[in-house]
Amino acid sequence: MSKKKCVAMLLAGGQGSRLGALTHSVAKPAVSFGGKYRIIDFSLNNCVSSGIDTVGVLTQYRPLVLNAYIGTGAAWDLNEAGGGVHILPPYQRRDGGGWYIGTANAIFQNLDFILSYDPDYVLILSGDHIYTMQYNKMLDFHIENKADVTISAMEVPWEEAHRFGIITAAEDGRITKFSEKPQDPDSNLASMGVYIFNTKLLLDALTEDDNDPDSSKDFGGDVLPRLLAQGKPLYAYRFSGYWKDVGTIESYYEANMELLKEEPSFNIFDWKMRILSDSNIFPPHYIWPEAKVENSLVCNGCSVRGSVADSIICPDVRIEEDCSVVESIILPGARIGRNCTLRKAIVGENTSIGRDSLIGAETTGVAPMQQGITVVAGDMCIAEGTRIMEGENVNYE
Amino acid sequence: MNLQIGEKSFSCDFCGGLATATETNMNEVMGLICANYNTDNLGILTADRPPASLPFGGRYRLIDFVLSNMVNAGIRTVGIITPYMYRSMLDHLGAGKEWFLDRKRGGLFVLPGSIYGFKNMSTQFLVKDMIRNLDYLTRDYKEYVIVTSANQVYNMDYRALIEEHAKNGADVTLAYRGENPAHWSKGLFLDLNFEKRITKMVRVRPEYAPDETPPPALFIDCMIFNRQVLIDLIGWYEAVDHMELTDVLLENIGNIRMLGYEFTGYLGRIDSVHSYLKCSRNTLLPEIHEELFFGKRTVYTKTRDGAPTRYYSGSDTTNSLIPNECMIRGRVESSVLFPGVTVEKGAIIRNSVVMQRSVIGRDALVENTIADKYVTIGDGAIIRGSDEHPLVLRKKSTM
Repeated sequence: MSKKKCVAMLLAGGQGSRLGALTHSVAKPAVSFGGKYRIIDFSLNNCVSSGIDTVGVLTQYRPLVLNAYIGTGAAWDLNEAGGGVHILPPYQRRDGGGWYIGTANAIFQNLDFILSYDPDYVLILSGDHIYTMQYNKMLDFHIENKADVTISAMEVPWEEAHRFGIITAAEDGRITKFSEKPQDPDSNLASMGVYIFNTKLLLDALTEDDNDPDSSKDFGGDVLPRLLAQGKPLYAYRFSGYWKDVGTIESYYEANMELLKEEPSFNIFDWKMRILSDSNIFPPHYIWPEAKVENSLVCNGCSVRGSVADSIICPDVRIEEDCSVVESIILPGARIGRNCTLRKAIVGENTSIGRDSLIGAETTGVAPMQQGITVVAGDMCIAEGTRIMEGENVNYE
Repeated sequence: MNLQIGEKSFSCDFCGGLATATETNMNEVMGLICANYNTDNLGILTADRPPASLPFGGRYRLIDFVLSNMVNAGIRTVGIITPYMYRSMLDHLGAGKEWFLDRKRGGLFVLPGSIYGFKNMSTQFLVKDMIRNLDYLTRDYKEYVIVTSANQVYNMDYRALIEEHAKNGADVTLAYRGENPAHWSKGLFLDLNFEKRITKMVRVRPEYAPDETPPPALFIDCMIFNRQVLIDLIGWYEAVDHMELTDVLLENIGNIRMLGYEFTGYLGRIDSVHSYLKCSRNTLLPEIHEELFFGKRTVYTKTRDGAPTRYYSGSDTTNSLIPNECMIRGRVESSVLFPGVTVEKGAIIRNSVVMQRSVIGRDALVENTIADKYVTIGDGAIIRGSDEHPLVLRKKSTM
């Protein structure tokens, strides 16, 4: 096989349990975002626009939707000869086999995939962030500094720093300290979970990590601190721009709603920067005579008869007459029956809500959970006249 | 004959008995779309493009409808006789990826049409074009060929047509519309006997008394041939310089077994600016857009990967068909927009069609108008056509 300069490994196996009902039946990278996209689209687009044509996608949790979605990779022009997108699930070997235990272990189990392309560098990504980034610029930085590992980092508000892997770096970017979710951070430079490794070093580091019985097989927790302790040149690449971890219901909701701002901080509307996705071919959406739509995103294949305000309506959604959908996110294929009221609700994919239901429109009097966002899981059938209080999660038991 | 009909004659290892013995194998059908046609009646809408690639229905081009009908019936070998000025059409079709036609066996065949299919000739099915591309028909071994034009809007189950044709052992079966509006005076009208055999074909709408006789059967530019019959028929007329396939059928009405098949769904005929706007407005009628677009059979088209459409505060949209990528700040009423249209604050679009990436300026009014692609309408401009005579704005023009 031809030699590659850089191969990307996209970690897409996580459950994303903090997204609750939204990841009941799909992996987090396959969750819908921004109307017509899925979270993994952003990383895949970044790869393609950075000239990386070989991507391994490591899957583990609920891979059905994700696998079907990625397909041959044609939607992102990743159906390349001598490269392209490869789905890499855990597999059996002669001496056994097992699940991916941590991020480092997942890559370790697929070293043969990486080596088959004989790349000089390996880019490691997590498939659950919303951002656009030119990885090739980061690679240039990596090569320029003769680094062993480069970690992409950005400044976060100090009060949030304890949620991230925090990097302390010298003026030239050389990392002096790496602490995973520190109680008392001495820097607000947070790791974005994007790493570039020299292939040889990655090989050695992962093998060493695998032999360490005390390791939790995680990049942030084990591999990177160990390399730093060994005095290897690790550099921080400062990224500025929009980057969002949509790991919780609140941050997922907020990131979606930001798209409705007059000047959204993450601009998906710029034609030149357009984000490729694998969309079914749906007809244009139809706005009925009695419908009312304001300050919202509406996608192809929808049919809107009720009133929609400050909401995101994904493809193939039907909203019947006399409905009121406010500040809500309706995921693909959902059906909202007649005379429903939805407020600050997230309705899962292909869920249908029976007529006369009230979703998140009523309060119990006590302070609601998750900032009052009501979530209904995907593929559910909500009976007519159901009343779901604000902040509730409706999920399979 | 390797006919796969009527008796248990093929076994399908894959669908394990799902295919019944009487079902036709759709692998036995190929398609031929005759897109080498133009007309003056569409004015500047077809100045730089053939009717086949005329944008329609918010994100489609006319050829999408017949092409989708074919692939929805399981047909995976489709030849398209190209019109003059086929750039826009090939740009749209590419390798046929969106229609699953970028494949090893079968696929999309681009068949160059002759310059004869020109405006004043207004032929739909030029025999000469088929002769010139005879290899397409002779190299394949499929039993049947569906031949269609490319300028009609309908969503039809071609499987049923194919089954009917095969079951009746016809040489050719012509699809027709029974109920048809009186303004469709041009076209080919069929006389059928009790067993649906075609006994007469006329080019002018026959007189009929609505209360006593059924309406005349209008041929809808869609027919299925036994492939060998088609090859034989066009072979007989090889020496004739300019011949229309329907005339060949007319001449041979007694020689071949020619049946009719009634299509009862919605049919949009686009042969003038007026009918273009009328058909576009028809797609806003719930029962028609449900049938055309939201039914079981998807209409496939080229994808653009545009962002979702943004409706801003204070925007007001009613009874309209709107695709992705639009920015709407004003009012859109009973109209069809295409991707990338911007409607500024205070602007009103009414009873109109606005094509790809056009911009309607602040407080502008656009009524009974067809704005072609990349049209810019300045702030406060008033653009108004009438119901009978819609205004057409040329591609890339600025008002």
